Amino acid sequence: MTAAPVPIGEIDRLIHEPARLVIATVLNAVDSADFLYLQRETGLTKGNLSAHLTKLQDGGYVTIEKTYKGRVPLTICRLTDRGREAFRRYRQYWQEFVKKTR
Amino acid sequence: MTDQNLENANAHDIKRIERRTVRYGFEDGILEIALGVFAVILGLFFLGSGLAPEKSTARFIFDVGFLPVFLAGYWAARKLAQSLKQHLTYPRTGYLAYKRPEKAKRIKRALLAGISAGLIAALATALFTSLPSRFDWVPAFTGLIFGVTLVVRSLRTGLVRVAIAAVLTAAAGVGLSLAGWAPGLELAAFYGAVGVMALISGLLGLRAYLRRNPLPEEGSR
Repeated sequence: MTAAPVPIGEIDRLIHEPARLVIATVLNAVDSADFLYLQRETGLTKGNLSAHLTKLQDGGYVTIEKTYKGRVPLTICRLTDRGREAFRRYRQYWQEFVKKTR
Repeated sequence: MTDQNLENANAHDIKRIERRTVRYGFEDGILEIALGVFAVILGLFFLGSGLAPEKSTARFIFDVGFLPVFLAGYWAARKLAQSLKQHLTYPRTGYLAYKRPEKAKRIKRALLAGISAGLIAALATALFTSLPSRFDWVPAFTGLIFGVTLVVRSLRTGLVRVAIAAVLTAAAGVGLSLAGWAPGLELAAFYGAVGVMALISGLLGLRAYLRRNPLPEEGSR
C-alpha cells in the first residue's frame, strides 16, 4: 500500500532555510539571544545574519530590540508567540514528512 | 542519505543546538565562581558559629543570623555573576537569556520543592537515627544531595568538570562526616572545601574560556 502524498507546499519556507532554522532553534530554546551569540552560532557574516533576521522579523516571527546590559550595547532577538508556534509546527511537519516518505 | 539518517540529522542538529544553549551559561566558569563565593561565605558562617561558645551572645547572633547571611550571600554571588558576565562573557560570545517558567509552573515547582525538602528531611532523620551516632552525618548527606544535583547538571550540559565536582563534593561530605570533628566545624569545612573546589574549577574554566574567546573587534555587536 502506498502512503498518502506529502504536501510539500505546506512547509514553512521562512523557517526551512538552514540558517533561519538555526536562528529559530536557538531562539526557541531561550527567552532571547543577542546578535553576537546568533552570529557565532550560525557562522554567518553580520550582513547575512541581518538579512535573515529581517526576513524573520518581517514574517512576524522575531522581534529585535536594541538595548544595554550594564554598559554593553546589545541587539536582542526574541521569537514571538507566532514564531514559536511556527517552529513547533515545522518540527511536527518534518517528523510527519519523514514518517510518510520512509 | 537515507530517510532515517535525514530525520536523525535534523532532530540531532536541533537537539545539539538546544543542548549548546543550555551549556552556554556554564561554559565560562562564572556560575561556579559565584557558587564558590557563596559556599565560602556559608563556610565562614559555620566556622564562626562552631567556634562561638555555647549560650554566648555571639552564638545567639549566629543562630538568628543564618537566614540573613544566606540571603545576603546569595544576593552577592548573583550580583558577582551578573557583573562578570556583563564584563567578560557578553562582549566576547554574546548574551543569552533563559526562559523563565510561567507563574503557574513556578508555583507548582515551589510546592514540589517544599514537599521534596520535607520528605528528604524526614528520610534524613530516619537515616541518621539508624546510622552510628558517633559520626555527624549532616555533611555526608549534604554532600550527596549536592553531588546528585551536580550530576544532573553535568548530564544536561555535558561538562566533564561538573561531573568531577559532583564526585569530589560527595566524597568531601562523606569524608568529613567520618572524620568525627566537632559538630558545626564539619559543615564549615564542607562548605569551605566545596567553595574552594568550585572557585578553582570556575577560575580554570574562565581562563580556558578567555583564551578560546578573545574580544571581537569594535563594532561587531
